[in-house]
Amino acid sequence: MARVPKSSQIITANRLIDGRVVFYSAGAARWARDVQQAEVFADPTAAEAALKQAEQDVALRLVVDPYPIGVSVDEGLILPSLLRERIRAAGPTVAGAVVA
Amino acid sequence: MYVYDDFDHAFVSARVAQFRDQVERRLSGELSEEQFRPLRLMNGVYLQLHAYMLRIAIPYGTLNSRQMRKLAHIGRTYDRGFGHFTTRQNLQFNWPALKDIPDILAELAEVQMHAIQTSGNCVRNVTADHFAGAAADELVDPRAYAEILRQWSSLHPEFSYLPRKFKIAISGATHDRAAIRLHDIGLQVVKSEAGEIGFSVFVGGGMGRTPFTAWHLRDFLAEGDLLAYVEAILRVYNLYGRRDNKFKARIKILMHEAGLDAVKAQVEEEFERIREGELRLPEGEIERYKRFFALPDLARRPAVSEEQQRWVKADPAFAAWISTNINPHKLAGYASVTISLKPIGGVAGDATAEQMDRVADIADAYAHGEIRVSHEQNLILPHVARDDLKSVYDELVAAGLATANAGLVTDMIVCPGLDYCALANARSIPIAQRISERLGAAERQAEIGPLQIKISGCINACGHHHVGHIGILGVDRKGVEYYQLTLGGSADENAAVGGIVGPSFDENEIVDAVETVVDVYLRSRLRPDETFIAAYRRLGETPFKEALYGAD
Repeated sequence: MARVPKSSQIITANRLIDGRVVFYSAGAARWARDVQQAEVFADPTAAEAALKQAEQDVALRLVVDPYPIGVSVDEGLILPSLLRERIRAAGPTVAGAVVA
Repeated sequence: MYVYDDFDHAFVSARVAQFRDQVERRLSGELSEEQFRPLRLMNGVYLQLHAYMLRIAIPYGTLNSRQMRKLAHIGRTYDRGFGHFTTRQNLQFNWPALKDIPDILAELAEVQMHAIQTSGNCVRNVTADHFAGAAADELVDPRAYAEILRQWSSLHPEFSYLPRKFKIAISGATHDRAAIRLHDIGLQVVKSEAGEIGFSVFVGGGMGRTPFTAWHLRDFLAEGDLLAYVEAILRVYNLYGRRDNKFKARIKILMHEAGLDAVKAQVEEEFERIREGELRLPEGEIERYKRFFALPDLARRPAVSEEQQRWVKADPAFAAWISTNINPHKLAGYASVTISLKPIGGVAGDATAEQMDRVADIADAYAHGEIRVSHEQNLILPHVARDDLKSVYDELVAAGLATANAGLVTDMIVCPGLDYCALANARSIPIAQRISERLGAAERQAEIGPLQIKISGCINACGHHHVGHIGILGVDRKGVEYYQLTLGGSADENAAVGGIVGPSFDENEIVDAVETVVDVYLRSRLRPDETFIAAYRRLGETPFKEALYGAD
């Protein structure tokens, strides 16, 4: 798969009811727990439109504080650019910590 | 310990009901996140990186076995089977669902606990010496005063929206185990020449991005004037503390900018105005509170425990644990036990629900059901008969809680860092784990002796790095974690803010750097009993700096 430009973005938020990290996806449920199911926007305008949609989901009480994050996509795998976002996506890096 | 009266029960229950209603209104959409955020924070609920986080108050670090079992139950039922003990002697759960938090608070209320004022710009949990009421070197158990301060500050209408958060610590011993000089107000119980009990008052200590050790505001404050004087300090701070910049809003900045004399004059003036008023503590009332914290009924025992001595000779591992994890008790034949929450390579301050239950069982069997949380993120059994130490040790071994490292190099204070915290810039826990593994061999730790490493994942300094003998601060440099090393900090009666020794290290270099500092110390100390901090004060930073970065 071709490498999507580094400026690609996905939208992330925390779920209102339990605070879990979620990602805006093209699936029917809209918000996925798995970052690999996130919808990747190579075009900033598309990302902005998705963010507007995400903000409607704030009003619908699905999520809190949605925001776009930069990602790279390599061999189809989505990798958030910032360590903070990689940790949010994968869970604590601490040995023995539960990731779910 | 303090026991809720009808007012306390009603107050906490009403608060649970109020928050339950607020959560329901948030989930139904009646409240927006902007409206809800301050309400949840008033109840200790943060939204962190991965989930909500609930911070539960453990007043001055004192809890009983029943409360510990409840924390275990909550961890098991509503969280992921563990909790994290903090430097404010509190407990944090990292994974509760918002929808469950009202039920959690209701369960806490059953055992006289809550999460009120564990966040927000108010007076936070008052902390105290974790050996309070037990330590041989203690003048007076400070917890009666801490409880009085807790009640005075709970929902105090004038001080619910201070310029910034406000932290008070109190010690009843000369040796400061409560870091009182690093608090907004630090109180040391003292005795006047006339034999009266009172307080030496420190103000304006703090860490964060602008660390200061406290100014000494008053040599002696009479016991009965405690609330009037503290209220006077808070009133002056509330009036003059900056609100234009949250990074300059703590009382330390007011002290720094206005100066000790100016603040003291204002405080004393206000104090004189109100000291004969309703805040004056009646003598009988102080005594009533002191009775809540009376020593349990401890049978008289010989000062030397033959049982302890026998096992020290027979079991080297027990002997090692006795040499580090025991603190002298005020009564002959007893000791306070430090239960280390710093297993080698583990997560500082974490305890599983099973471990919490085991600690509660051991406390019931051998320690009169009393438990303490230390600001160093360990647990304490304050009153254990020396004859029972081997039994306690054996049970701690079975629970994975017998690490013999209290006060040693692997007994680090470590903030949650970027693995959990929304404010962090870098990870703390994995760095601490690697240092622990590198230096954790028993012989190596014994050789190094007392040495405090403290690690923060950002400049807010929750990991107290400024006052670590070796401090480590995680910083973000263009998306990469780096670690700044500070040396010479201290949190005790010789409190000092450590100095940055030089350019920061990346995550692969920092453990080597710490070991280099330790090796310079071992090479340079005059005698094996010259501690790291004593050697550092004698040598200064130069030999450490040269070893880390090369001579100029």
